[in-house]
Amino acid sequence: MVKCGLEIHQQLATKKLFCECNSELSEEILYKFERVLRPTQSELGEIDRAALEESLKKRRFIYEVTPNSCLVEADEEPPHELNREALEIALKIALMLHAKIVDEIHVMRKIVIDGSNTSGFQRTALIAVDGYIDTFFGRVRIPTICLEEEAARKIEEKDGGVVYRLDRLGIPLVEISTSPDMKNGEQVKEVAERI
Amino acid sequence: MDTLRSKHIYKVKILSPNMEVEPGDLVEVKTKKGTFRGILMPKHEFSDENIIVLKLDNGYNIGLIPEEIKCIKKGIRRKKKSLYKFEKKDLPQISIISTGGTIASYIDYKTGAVHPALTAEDLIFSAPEIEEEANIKAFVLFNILSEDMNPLYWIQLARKIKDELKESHGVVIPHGTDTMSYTSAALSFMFSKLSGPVILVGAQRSSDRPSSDAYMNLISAVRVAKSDLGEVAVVMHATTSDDHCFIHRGTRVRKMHTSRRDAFKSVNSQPLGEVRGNKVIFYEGYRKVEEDVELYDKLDEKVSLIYYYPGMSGELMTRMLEGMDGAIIMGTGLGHISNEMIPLLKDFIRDGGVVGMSSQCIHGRVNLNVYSTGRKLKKIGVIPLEDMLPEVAYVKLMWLLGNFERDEVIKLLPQNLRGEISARRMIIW
Ligand SMILES: [Zn+2]
Repeated sequence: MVKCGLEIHQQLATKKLFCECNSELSEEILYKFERVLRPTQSELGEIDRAALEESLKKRRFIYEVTPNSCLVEADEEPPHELNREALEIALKIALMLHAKIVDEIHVMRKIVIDGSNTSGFQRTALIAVDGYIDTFFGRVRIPTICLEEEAARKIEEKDGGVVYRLDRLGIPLVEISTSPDMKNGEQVKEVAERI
Repeated sequence: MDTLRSKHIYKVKILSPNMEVEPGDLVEVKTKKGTFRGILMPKHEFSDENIIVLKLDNGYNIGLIPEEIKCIKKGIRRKKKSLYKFEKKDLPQISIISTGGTIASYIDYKTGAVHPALTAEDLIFSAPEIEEEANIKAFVLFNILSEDMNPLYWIQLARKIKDELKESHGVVIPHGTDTMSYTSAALSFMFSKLSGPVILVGAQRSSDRPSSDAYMNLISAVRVAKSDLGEVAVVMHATTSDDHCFIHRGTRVRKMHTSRRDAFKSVNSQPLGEVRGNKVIFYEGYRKVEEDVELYDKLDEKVSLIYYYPGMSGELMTRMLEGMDGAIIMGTGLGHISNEMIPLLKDFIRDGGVVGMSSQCIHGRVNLNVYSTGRKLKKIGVIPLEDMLPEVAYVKLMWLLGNFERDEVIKLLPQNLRGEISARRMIIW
């Protein structure tokens, strides 16, 4: 029997998760800058020289600054407080899915060095655990509900490096992961629609 | 930043006989909401006191109110070395003297927490490539926050630099960025001769993030320390891009932004040069290294740095001058303060105090000849300080008062000794 799980990402139309920029896409480019990302010790433990050199070759990134990106997206200013409105929406979703909200929410860093985050990590917070949704075909468990920031938009890959645009970076995203409990396409559809 | 400093307060039953539970340990935590397994993290500064922080298998951190904690496996602790030395025969030796700050922090990869580098090894850990640049001798002299830096530390640091220059070609000093330009100015005045470059370097993003500027700044600083520059300089990012660093003269540089990588600017002057990849380029007019080192290591701490503002009371001014040997005023515009202050300064100068005037505009030269207030200030003996940065003037006056007689101090304060004053300022700034 085929079992199926889902990971659903829902963008929120609030301000961005860690700054006051608007959550929208933009075609207007104001400025470009270039960065290098390095694997950190947290990623590799001891740094391997050969691996480091190899990774450095690939990690030159060009970022396009748009009107809806500020110093926070450019990794030039510490993140502001987590957007309240986005948090409230995420908590509401968690309650609707019968999940247990953690006693204290901690924003943490998921290392991402493909350049899609200027900082080299994605900020993400686990909001709630052990939820579920009842469907016509039975109960589907939802182990985790997270609130995280959207990555920068990849524009092109060229010899000099990868080009990203900062408009999308930081848009709040609710990530809902289900257990592989679903038995057929109909059920998957039902879960996706209801969430 | 250093979350480890705050101690855990466990108001819970710890189910690990003979075992203390510490951050980094794998634990099982029983709560009202179920049992969670993960690595115990250092307590977050803003956390509620009943909360413990756990890193789950899926990498997420969560805060929990625990009922019981059980240690499953102890975390691994690293061994420490206090002096780190690499030796390859045909490379110059560079000493790295760490004083603290973001650049000298390292990450505990087990818990993800950022700590100040306590050992030389921690320091080199973030940029192992510098081994190929020079024979590195690294050690930690202080481990203090930038804001806790003071003249006594400057003196200790200067003496240590002098020692190191006996055997090293140059010196690199990782330093917190907040007060780095005060330290660079102090060292600039204290050394009248240098046999090698003295390079201060910092970071605006800590080395626990892949985007950190620490690596490029540090390696660029080491490259400058191999040059023939006989001055104290600050090496930091030139722009927001990771493409080149500027070499700023120690008496000209100022932190002009709270958080950007390119926060450091040369004010009223051009940088001394730049580092692009492994190329060190000097623009023009820098002092070359000399045969030996000459150090004047006395500082008179009885100097005030006074920011004048509309509404400042004469009473406050009096208090800020009381018991002082000198004062640097950050006046408005060309170098002005309210007329109410003039008699107070007159008394202070008559009683032996030295007063210099700089501008809170930061950019541009003061001029006490243009307006009547300026002329009055000049008449009572206030010394106009040209285009010297106020903080640099403050450090310079401390140094002058510490090492010279009053007449000499008054003569030297407005003179260019270490590139801190320029005769010309350019259209492009
Ligand atoms: Zn923004």
